[in-house]
Amino acid sequence: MYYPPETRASSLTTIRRERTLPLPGRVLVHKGQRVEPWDVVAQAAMAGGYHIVEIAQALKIHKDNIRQYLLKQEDDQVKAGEPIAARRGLFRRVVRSPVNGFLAAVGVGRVLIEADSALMELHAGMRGRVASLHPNRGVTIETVGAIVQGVWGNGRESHGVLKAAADSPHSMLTRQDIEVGSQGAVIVAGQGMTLEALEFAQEAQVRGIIVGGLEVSLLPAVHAAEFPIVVTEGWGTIPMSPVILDVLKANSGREVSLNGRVRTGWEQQRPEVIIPLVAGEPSSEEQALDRPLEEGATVRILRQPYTGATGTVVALPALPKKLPAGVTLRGVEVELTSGERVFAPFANLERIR
Amino acid sequence: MANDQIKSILAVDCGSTTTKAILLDVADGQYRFVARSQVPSTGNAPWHDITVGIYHAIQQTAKIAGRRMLDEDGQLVMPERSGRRGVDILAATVSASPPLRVVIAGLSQDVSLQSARRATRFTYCQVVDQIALDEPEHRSDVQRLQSVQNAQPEVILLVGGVDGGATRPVMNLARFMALAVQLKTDPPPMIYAGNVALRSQIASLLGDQVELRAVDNVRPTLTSENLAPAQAELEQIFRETVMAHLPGLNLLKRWSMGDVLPTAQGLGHIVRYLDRLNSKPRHGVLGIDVGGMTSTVAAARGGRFSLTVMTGLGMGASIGKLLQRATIEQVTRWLPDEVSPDQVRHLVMNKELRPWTVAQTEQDLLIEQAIARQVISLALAEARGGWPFRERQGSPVLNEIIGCGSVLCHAPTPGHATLMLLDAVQPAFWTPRLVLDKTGALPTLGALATVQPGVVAQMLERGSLVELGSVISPVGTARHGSKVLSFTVKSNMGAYEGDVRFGSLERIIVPAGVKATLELRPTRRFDLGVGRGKGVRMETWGGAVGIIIDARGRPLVWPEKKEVRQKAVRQWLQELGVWSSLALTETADLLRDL
Repeated sequence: MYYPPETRASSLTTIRRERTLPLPGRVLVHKGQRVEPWDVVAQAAMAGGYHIVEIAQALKIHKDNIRQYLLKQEDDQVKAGEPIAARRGLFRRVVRSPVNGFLAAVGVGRVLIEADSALMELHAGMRGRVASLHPNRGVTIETVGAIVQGVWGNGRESHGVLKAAADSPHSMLTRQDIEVGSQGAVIVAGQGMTLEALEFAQEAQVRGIIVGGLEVSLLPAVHAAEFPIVVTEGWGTIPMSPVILDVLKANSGREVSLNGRVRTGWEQQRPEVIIPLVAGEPSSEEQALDRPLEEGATVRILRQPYTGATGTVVALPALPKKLPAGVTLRGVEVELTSGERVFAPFANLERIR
Repeated sequence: MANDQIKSILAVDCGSTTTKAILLDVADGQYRFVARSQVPSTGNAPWHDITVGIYHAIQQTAKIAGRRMLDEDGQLVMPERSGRRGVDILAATVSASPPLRVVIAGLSQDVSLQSARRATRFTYCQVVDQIALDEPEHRSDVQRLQSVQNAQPEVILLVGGVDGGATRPVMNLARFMALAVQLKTDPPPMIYAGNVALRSQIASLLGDQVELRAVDNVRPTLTSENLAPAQAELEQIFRETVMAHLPGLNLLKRWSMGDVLPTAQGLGHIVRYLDRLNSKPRHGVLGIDVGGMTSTVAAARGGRFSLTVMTGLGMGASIGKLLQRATIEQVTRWLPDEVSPDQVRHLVMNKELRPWTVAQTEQDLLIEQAIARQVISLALAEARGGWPFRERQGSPVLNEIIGCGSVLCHAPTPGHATLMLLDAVQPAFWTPRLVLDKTGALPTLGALATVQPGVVAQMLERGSLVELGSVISPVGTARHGSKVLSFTVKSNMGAYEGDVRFGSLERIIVPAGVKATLELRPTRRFDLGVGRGKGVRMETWGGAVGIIIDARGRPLVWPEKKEVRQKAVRQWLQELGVWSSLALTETADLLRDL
């Protein structure tokens, strides 16, 4: 009984995604409202930075006595140039606020002004309906459609029209594969792409690229790209899983949302491609995660010598098997899409569904 | 429950990458390892609940052992019922929670901040920012204020000044840090571990809004360090504010008869216990646990103890950070063949994305083990500042080395684990005992030791650890190929003698449980702990690997040319029986010649 990690590559399902602000703010939509990817669903005020003003030094007073010279108190709003402290009498002096903001704290001999905040906007990121509201934080958006999870992304988010440039999982995206009229397109590549293709994609104003593997040498260019890049298999030249490619090809020409945000470690988030479908089509709920691996399951092998190979579990041997590395582990027999039958340890499997 | 009533123990360790469930049972009056399972942990997305992984691991262990452990409602059957149903007790350790975010502030980077940093290493802390009056980058007060705000600390550790020393610089720093914490809507607590004379002034500076926890000065004098009170405070805050909020922890707490311990503390208990048993208190016990997100070094000698918890340094999801702390060449130097830097980078970055995976090919295995050497070396370098060991030429003199963690306990052969430990630790002189936590239960046994010390003592004495063997590491240097020492080994298996050359490893096969008498006669350039050129006679025990004479120099001296270095690595691997490729190639060549 083994419960493998999973990757979603589903052609039709009900998808719910939480969209929340990193800090408390205001939700701008109501429950049940239909939203487009570019709609602002919530906003928050971001701190605008701090300014320390040396009051005692400027007024030539003892630093323990500044409170009696202050014209503003803690939490009071201040405008740039407005007097905040003054010394009257023969040696009259005035200290003015350097920025618009509020007086955040009074310290020994100095005050702290927090500048006015900038507005942060949270976009819906996908087409759908607001299923629920999270007060002061954001919303959950629900849609019916296809979903493909990636393993790495360059942190950007966008939406566009899906365009399958790859014929097979082994296709390499070159500059020639990107047509001049690719503006606004999200391009599906196969096992990798060249630097020239990436540079031309930037020039052609594509909205995103979905690719199987990525060479580490492309990392600086990938980070510099202004559009999201979602990697489905991993680092290196790795053919895109045929299951994933089939889902993407079947939806070529449809509007997609690409979220290239990835987090590893203590907090995890995977990049994903969401393809909302037209209303009225049948949908199934996202299935429960808690299912043991069984015969017939579609799996992907994650390590050499079969990295990225996809197949079907045909047997779960009771006894462990010795791997070329010398380790003896339990695992499964997988019939790959190429027809080859191989053994893979449980730890190196991921279920695709 | 009395010792003799405990017949079965389930040890659960919930790590950041994997969750393990290990069943130990009494057979012939002794505790024995019965079954073990390891599944991906579920503290993170999409589950956000560690209990899912715990159930998976228990179900798998139950299936392997042929024992029913959970009832129809999913509750652990405790104590054990007739027909071997359930278990008597469950012991648990956890390292799945994120670390405590700490900002440290002190007068000088080289003195007080060093002590503060060492204090944070005692538990699962991440130093998210540090403020020092002598910062080389000369940040303005506003920049430092912004930096503390952005770091989002969960606790501030303020240190500085010696007891009875100057107060003004410490007060200036305290005023700044008070301002930084008071700005937050929900201000984090502040631990003050500086000049004790300033406690009341700092308390009035902070007012009622900020919780102040004043403890003894980490640097009471310029030459002494007192970390324990600050360490205890950080540990308590970690357990109260971070670990306690791990989703699903309550289930483990309900099931375990003692407290659920952080995994690193579990290892610490075991190392301290073994130090007490130590027949050679002059030397120490070193425990190393290489985890997925965290590596831990526990060091004890004659009652003195240090624990170094390196969060963000491991073989799982934090493996990518290694590339920021070490060069690719520091990894590839341990490989017997040419491997491109990009291949190493791809492996590291893919492992970061799927940390639970294991190496299937020999090359991947050797790369991962090379990375492990570097991870352990970095953890030891951090631990070195505060550990209680004697050192010679930068190498610790030890009585015992214990290896824990998947990369070591899942190594295909004991030779792999031995070589990883030797290469990373590089002990000096005679290390009588090298052991491996093959079952992965050791830190959890440490947790059990707090409530059932007798059971744990029995487990440690009888079979919980795999004896790898003993190591002799002469200290000195010479040309590669020069003679280092002559040896004679006698045991009930016979006698054997030979010479060992500089740059080589010599493995003398003496099985576990067999005592051998070893006579060593070093040349005048080499020291075995009794003076250069002086011979020693010792009685030592064998192990799964045997007795190893490590004549590679301390610190290890690398051949300059890459080809020569790769050949040397091949020979070390072959000597410990962990690499077959060359032997197979040579055999194939021989067959072709015939």
